[in-house]
This record gives sequence, C-alpha cells and structure tokens, in this order.
Amino acid sequence: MAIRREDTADCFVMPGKMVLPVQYFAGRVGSKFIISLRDDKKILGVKCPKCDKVYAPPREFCEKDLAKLDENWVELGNEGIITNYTIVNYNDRHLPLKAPYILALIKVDGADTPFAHIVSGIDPDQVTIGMRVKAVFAEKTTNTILDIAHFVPVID
Amino acid sequence: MAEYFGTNAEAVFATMPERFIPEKVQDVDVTIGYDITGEGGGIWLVAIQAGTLKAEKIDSELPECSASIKTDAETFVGGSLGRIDLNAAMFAGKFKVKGDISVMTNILPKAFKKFSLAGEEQAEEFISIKAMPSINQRFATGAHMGQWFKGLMNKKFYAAKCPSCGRIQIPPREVCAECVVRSDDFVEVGPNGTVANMDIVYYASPDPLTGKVRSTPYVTLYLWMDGTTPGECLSFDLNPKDTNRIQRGMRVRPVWNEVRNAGIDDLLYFEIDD
Repeated sequence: MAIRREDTADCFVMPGKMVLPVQYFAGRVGSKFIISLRDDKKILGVKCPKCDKVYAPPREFCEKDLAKLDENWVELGNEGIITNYTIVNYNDRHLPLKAPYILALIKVDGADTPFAHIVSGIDPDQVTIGMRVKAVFAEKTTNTILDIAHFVPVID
Repeated sequence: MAEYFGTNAEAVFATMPERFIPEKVQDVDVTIGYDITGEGGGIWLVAIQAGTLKAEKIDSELPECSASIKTDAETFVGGSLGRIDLNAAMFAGKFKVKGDISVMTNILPKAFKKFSLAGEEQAEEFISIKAMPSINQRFATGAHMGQWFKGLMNKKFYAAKCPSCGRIQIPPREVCAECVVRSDDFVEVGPNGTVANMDIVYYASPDPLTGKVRSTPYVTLYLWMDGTTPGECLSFDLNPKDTNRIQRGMRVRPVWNEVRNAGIDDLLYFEIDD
C-alpha cells in the first residue's frame, strides 16, 4: 500500500489541548517593573549607560553592547504610541478578552522599545499605527503585566 | 518570648506603626484578626481605617473581622520575613485565612513595608507566578498520520517503510530522516509487541491532551511492535492493572476502545498478553 501527500481521503483534524503547569519567575529586574506597576502605577524602564537606549519592559543587559542596565532605572510616561497592532479574532479560554480585541505594540513616552498590550475603548477598525494611547491601571492587581489593565486612546 | 528566625511574633506587630504607609490605604476600612498559636503566640487585632492604624494584643477571643488568620508563631514570623512561603503553608493547612482573602493579597502588601530583622536591609520582593494555561489546539494529520489513525479505527497498526533502507517508522512519517527520501509505502505491523523499555511515572502531572490530572503511578511503554525494524519503538500507555507486573521483554497486546473515531483514544492502552 502506498500513500501520497495528495491522498487527502483519510486526513483528520484532531482536537487537542495543551495544559501544563508553569511557574514563571520574573527575576530581580522584572519584579521591580511589576511591583512599580502594582504599587505606584508607574511604568519603569532601564537606560543603557553606553548607548542611551531605553528598554521597556526593563532587562538586565543591553542587547547592543552587553552593558549591565539594572542600576539605571528611568521612569517612563503612562502614555505612548502604537507602533504596530493585530486584531485577535477568535475566542479561547486562555485569552484575556472576548474577540475581537486589539493587541498592540506600544512604545511609551521615553522608551525606545515597544511592548505588547491590549488596547480597549476603540473599535478594532479604527486603530492606526501612530495612535496615542494611555495606560489604564488595574483596580485588582495580579502581579502580572495585566496590572496595566489595558491602554485606551488619548482623545485630544 | 520564643524566637523564630531571630525575632518573634510580638515584633512583627510592634513594628507595624513604623512600617505603615497611610497614603496607600486612604480608602480602606478593614479589621484583621490574628490567632497565633504556639509559643510566643497570642491574639492580635489590627484595624486599618482611612489611613489610620491600630494594632493591639487582646486578651479575649477574636471578634468578627474582615479577615482572620489562624497560624502558628513560627509560620507567622517566617511568612512575615519572607522565609516561609505562605502559599505553601496554606496548602499544608498551617496558615488559614477566614473571611475576605483579598485583604491578605491586596491590602496588607500595600499598607505595610515588609517586616525585616533589625539592621537587615528590607527584603527585596520577587514576583513569581504559577499558572496552568489551557490552550485549545487542532492537529491536522495529513495523509501519512491520517493512515495511522484510519488504521486505529479499524484496529490495525500501519507503519511507513523506507524504500531505501527498509526502516519501518511507527507512527508513520512522510520522510525517512536517515535517507532523506519520501517513505510513502505502508505495511501493517503488530498488533502485539514486546516491551523494549518503559517509564514508570510518579509525578501527578495533568494529561496535556485533556487537562485532567493522571492517577499515578502510570506506565508509558516503548514497544517493538511485531514486524517493525529494531530500534523503532511505539510509545503508549500500559493498562494500569498491570503496573506492578510489567517487565522488559514481556509480550503485550492492544486494548481497543469500543467507540473508535480515528483518534488517539481509539486505542486505550496495551496490557500483558498472558
């Protein structure tokens, strides 16, 4: 018996699940970032002493010159711009919101790197690259990046 | 007074006023009762109200509180210092919270700086998150794995045979990775096999396909199915009833599900072929 790739008569789609217990340790730098979101409602970054690049979220070393960054904290703005985005169009229980919602890369004021977060308060059709948004902090904190609940557009 | 980790429960309460951060709890109105057992224990009552703090040891029983904590003095001191993981203590039943648990998780960490030993720098807080994400997936078999599942539906094992080296791959794959040629020929193997090796698993992990925690120990077999080439093993579960008897080299047979829909649960497990 021979089967070719084109023989699709007996192809099946199996539903499956990936359920695994995970433990994530944020580390010294990541912990300080989350605690600042949680307690002070401030977004912190680190600035490279050599090349002045500001990382948000913070990291311990600069990716360009490998300088150690964790002593060089800077406070960043709670507003920023959308540098890119995607619309999440399917529902699943591990996702934080009902579809459709906007998942954007947001570069907060003072930072040189963007990070991914949810943008709410706007129709997914209306989102644009370059749009100004501001952080809305969570009332119930969870010790995660969701201590920023989401970002909303800044209306001038 | 009994000492734990170089300090005592009394000191945790005595330092509360200097560790208190009034501006963080302006809109909070809670009372927290502490029933601390063992040497150096006692009953304490802490009231936080609109940015004010009252912490006192009382002689009577605990009144009704927003949250009340029952634990032993060692766990309490260790937890306050961050030397004992209170989540673990909770699971072990050594640290019990009655009432509104969010007082513990949200209000107290905001209201106080961390307790630390005199002369020691304030312990740094680290964030660690435990989670059990459940992500739904769909797996498209393609033509080769499709034959495998069709075979299971008909109580048969189909394997792919490499046209170049003759190696038999089970479950079938599209390409023989050793010869780098397509292996489109199929042969029927089994249904019985020989146990080449096995894992006896004691860790009660969830089954990644269902999310249900497996009962332990369970055995995963590595089987030389009859008719396969040496070294090509099929990995599958053993019937739990045979867990204590299974040995390398034993003959096993498949046990099929009565309802079969071309899925991996068409085959339940293998069991010892007596």
